[in-house]
Amino acid sequence: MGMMQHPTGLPMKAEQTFFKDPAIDRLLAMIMTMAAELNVTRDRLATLEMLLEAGEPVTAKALDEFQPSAEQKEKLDAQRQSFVNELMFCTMGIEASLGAPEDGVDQFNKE
Amino acid sequence: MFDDIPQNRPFDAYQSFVLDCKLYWTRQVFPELRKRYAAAAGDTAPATGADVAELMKDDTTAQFFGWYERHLQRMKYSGQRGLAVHFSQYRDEIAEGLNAEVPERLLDIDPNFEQPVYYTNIDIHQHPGGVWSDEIAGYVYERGAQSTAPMLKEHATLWDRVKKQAMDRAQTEVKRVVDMGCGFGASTYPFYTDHPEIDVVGLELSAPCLRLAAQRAAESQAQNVLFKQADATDTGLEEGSADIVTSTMVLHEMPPSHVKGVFKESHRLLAPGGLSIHLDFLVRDDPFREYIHYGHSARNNEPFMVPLNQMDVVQAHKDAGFDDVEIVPFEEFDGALDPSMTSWRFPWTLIIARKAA
Repeated sequence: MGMMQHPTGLPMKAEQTFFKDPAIDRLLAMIMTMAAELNVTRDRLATLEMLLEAGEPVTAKALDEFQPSAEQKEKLDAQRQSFVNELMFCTMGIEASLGAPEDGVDQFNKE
Repeated sequence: MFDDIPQNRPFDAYQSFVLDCKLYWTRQVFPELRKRYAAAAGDTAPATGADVAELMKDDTTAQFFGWYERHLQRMKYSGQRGLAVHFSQYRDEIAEGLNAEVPERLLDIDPNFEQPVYYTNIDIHQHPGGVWSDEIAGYVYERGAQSTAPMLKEHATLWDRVKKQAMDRAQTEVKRVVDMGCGFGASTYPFYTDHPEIDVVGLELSAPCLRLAAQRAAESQAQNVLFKQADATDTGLEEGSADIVTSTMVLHEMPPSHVKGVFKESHRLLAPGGLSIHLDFLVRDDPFREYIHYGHSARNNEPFMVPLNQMDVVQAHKDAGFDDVEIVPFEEFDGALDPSMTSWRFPWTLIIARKAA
């Protein structure tokens, strides 16, 4: 959450929006907040598995202070980057497969 | 220093996520936006950034582009595991480190210093409360700066490059360097560590930033630097006492009246033949880049980027007494100026002037 009161006492400015409906701005903020937290949870699970595989005690402190080896870091980074790529790609408006021609499909009809 | 701030994997995972999203925005969303702009413009030739903005105002990718720029920065600082939020938990430990005693020669804080209103009334970079109000703001800012321009693998490289440009271009023996708006001292560091024979002064408005800069200098056992709280338009330093006056990403944080004041003060401070070299952002002859830059100005709470870009900085230098002025594109990392580089980047520019010998 942001500041509730600026140190100068000045009121906060009006919401800066980018979409025609401000509801989209706010909903996207909710999605990204949840995505960031999901990434933290995925990372927590992956590091927990790494501790288990190494036969080390799994405690909250051990997870908070987990320092991956170079190999583990590479794996964790790759998992996170893959998730980010999928998430961000959704907003690019790029189709994943080839659809029908804009001018219809009669051109393929041999009748 | 700050060894008692514990490692926190969830915080690191969150910040890495935000940075990866910013990298995607830089490398994928920006080129896609440029492609869509080219398609929308067709054979027309928008003349200004405002024309491009009008053309792109209903483009969905442009709307996402703007949203990401503003909100990824908000998340970085003020999100659930944002920098300002996270490090507030360790306020006492950080403050103790920042306020640890340093040799007197390193730090000059003015207890009666009054901040300019333009500086306190806008939270630049979306840093909540600005970089001046919270005693740990310098520490938070230092960590935030590491992902300001995500194409920079190591931010230090940028400061080293500015220092090299300054030293290479100096035509007189360099005995003293003044670094205006030095922040937490990253831009000052290469001068005082690589050149122990040079006397270096870092000037800055923010006391929290100056305290961190002095701690870092003490850590380096520097003997040749002073971090002083002062306005770059009125430094209180002796006339003709500097051979290089420099600033890095400072001019765009102040109104035109103050930018002109900085040029005048730079001229006053320099010895004959001395070099003035400011790294900042200028867009020239590219409406699309202007659209991106002015948008960034609004989205990142840096409104003075626009008047700086509109200013005739060559004439402003001449009005300040300089007669030899150059505007030079700055390569912040190898290949940054190559036409094949399609990722987003700041329009880094060196504004260089020399005082008559």
